[in-house]
Amino acid sequence: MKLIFRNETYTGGNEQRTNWNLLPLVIAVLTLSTVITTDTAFAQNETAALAERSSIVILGKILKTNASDEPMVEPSTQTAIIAVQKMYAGSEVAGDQTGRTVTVILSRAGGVKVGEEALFYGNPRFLGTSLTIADESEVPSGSIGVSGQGALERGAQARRDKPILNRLAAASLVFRGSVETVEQLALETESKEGPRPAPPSEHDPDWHVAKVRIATPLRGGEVGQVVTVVFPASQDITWFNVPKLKPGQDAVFLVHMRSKQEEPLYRASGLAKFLEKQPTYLVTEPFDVLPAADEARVRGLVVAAKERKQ
Amino acid sequence: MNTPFRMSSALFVLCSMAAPSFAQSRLVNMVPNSRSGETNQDAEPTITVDPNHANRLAGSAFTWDNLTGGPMVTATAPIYVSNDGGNTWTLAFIVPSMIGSGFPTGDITLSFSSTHSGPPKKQTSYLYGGILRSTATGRPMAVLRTKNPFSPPVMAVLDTHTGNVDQPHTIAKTSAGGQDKLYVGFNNGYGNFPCPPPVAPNGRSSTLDVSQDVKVAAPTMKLDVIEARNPACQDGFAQVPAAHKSGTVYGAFLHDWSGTPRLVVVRDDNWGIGPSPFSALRDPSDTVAGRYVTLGLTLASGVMGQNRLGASNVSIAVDPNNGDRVYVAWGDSNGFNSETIHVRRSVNRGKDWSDDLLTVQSAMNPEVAINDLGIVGVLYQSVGAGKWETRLALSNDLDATTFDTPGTLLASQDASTPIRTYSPYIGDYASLVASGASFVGMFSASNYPDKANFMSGIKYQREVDWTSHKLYADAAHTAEVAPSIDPFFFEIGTNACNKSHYFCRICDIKPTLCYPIYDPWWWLKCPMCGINIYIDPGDEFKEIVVFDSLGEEVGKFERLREPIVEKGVKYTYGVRLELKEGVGYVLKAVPLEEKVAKGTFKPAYIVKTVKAPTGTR
Repeated sequence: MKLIFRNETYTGGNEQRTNWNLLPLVIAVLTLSTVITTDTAFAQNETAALAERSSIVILGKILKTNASDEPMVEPSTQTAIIAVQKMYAGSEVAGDQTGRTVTVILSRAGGVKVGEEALFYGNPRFLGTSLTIADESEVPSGSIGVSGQGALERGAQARRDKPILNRLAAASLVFRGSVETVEQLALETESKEGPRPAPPSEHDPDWHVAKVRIATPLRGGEVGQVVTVVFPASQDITWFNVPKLKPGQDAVFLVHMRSKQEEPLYRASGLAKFLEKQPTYLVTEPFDVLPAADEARVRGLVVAAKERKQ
Repeated sequence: MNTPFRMSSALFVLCSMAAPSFAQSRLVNMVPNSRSGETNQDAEPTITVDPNHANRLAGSAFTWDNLTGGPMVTATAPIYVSNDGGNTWTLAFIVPSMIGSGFPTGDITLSFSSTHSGPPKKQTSYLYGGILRSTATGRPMAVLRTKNPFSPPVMAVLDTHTGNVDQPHTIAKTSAGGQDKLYVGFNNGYGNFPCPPPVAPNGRSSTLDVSQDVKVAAPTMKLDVIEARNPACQDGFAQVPAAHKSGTVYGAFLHDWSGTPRLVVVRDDNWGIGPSPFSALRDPSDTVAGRYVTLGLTLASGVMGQNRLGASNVSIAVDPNNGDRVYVAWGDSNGFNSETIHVRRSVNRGKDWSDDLLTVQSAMNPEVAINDLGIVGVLYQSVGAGKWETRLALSNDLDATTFDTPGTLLASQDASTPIRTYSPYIGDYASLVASGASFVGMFSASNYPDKANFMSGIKYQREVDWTSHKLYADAAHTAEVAPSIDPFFFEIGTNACNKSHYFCRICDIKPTLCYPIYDPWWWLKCPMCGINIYIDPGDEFKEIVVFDSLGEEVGKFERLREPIVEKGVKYTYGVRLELKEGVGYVLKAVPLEEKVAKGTFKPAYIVKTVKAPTGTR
């Protein structure tokens, strides 16, 4: 089994006076201490990295090795059945599995024994009568201390932040602000008398235009500035999870300007001409608008993204 | 006459393997028990059956990796897999997606080929898919492949097309030479808005993404534009292929979606190989490739039973035993907020088309399939009296021109609840395929648990209390779950009864030992002729008796002096029959007394027209 956490700590001695004869020992102790600290830091970083790669983190006890509860998974030296004692992450996938059994496709064959407790970092592979995960790694649970838990939480948070960081990378303007008005985008082909023409796709975004006043700039923009934000009001599968703006809404906005990749979308949906006429920002993904309560989180991510860039 | 057949039984064994081990009617809610807490709107399903192992199936729907349909929390979307003929289902997380995406995939369709793959103990066949993929920018059409959907690796992406793409419809067919032919129909360039100018050159957006052997390491994919006319802006969203083992490949689509829409069928006679693929069928009106099946249509629009209309309901199926017989289904307007579905057929390779064989108002999602007995199934979903009803109508005559309308009721659920969370509510299509003598399908409907609302024998995998009509997240039934839209699997078996009520009487004890055959062309081509039927019956039977559809015994198969070999198949027994207009035959196998024939009697057979109507070989 891959050992990541190391709990050994060196407390040093009680010597009060300097004893140069002990200098080599002191140096050795200091070196070891540095190594251990570095190792611990390394282990914590690895824990965080594992948690970031894993949508499911389970504390479990090995019930059977070379076994599988999932008919789709052949029992082998790389499979085991565990009893779930606690879920650190992943209850969104199939609910809290505490008290249930889970089949684990181990990160490497063998290496786990019946009765052992470990943290299983993985991703879902099958969901039938029970959950099966494919492990990124298994780590002995005895090694997880407070610092380990902190690292785990840090990794899980990084995973939750990932889609926001992706949107920050695409965003041209990041701010907290409030929506003042919302109206449906008037399409070029509309006449006052006739009905709204049929869009060319069932995935039509049904663009709406919002005026949003910036309250707190987080990256770009000025306090009091009113910006035009276009968003899809459509309830089509490809759009329904994209935030719908409402007058009076107080939120954090990660909006982007016209992009080359989205040009086919603009042309297909009648937005292209509107974008040519005025500076406009767009909301096209679920994490482009976040609750106002996320302001501090986004502020931190903006800083982190900037540091990472530098 | 009672001389037992003593010959290789290989064919029979193969046929038995290919047929489902049970052919009863079944209906199963596909949400696995461990997902009992889910409230997703699992709409727009498709299903495919492994031709080598009919107990292995794969299905897809808009199914998220999380329980509530929120943005994706993993990088893989699940599909549904079963290795016990659809009795139980498991989610396999093997479709590429993206953390944070609002949807698992856009449109998705799946198709098995007949090429074996996978480890010996879990032998399966290649599975292919077409999806609108969740990516950081846009939703490109991607072609996917896995050697084994029952194993963990994520499906490989073979081909990607960006831009205004929509509705990939996937069909794989393995040729006699062992090549996996793949056809992914999709709309390649809808829009602009306003239009003109169109996105696709000359508005020709109907396209097939074709591979002549998609199972090889780095397959070549080629785009074939199957629209040969110039629509003002674009074609409809669905371009649906159907492939026959002979190499005949059909495609159906709605030409000129935003102008004067007409249903068009194209055909290629050699797998789409050659400099001018899919141009074998020309319309007499303009000699342009692509036969018009309809006049100008008014397409459906609005909303029916919370489901949007107008996203191109098109389906096409070819008879597995006769590449000349092809059926199409489509939908058009039944007034605002309503749709009417239609079914037509051609018996001469798409050259001529019948009038409507089936018309159902207030209905959508028509899906047509033809099984090994030549029986045609039409799955559809209709709204009536505030209910969504899902039905399978089967043809009930020799020639598959009439249907047992309205058909078998699979589900009847309230059309106003649960409330739609996104569009489409139940899907822009459902799914129906033939598997041996059965029809296998998948549809989406409310999971509100009331047995009275489903076909008898409905089975849920998720936690349910049928008495109190409640769903639960846990086995202890402490956490109640609100009803939502779920995917349902069904299988409906058929036999000779579906062809003629006389056959039903003749074959009432063991209908699986009866094999009906009929072709109107026998008589139409030569009214004064007779036919010779040659078969390879296998060694499970002591005799094969022939009855006609008037209820008379008209002959028995006798061993040929010299076997006839055609396309590698040896036919060892034959019978000569006199033809009568509208009369068909059923071959009834009598098993050897010491053996119990298992599976289905489905002999390899050929029919040859002979000038003399009577006599022997």
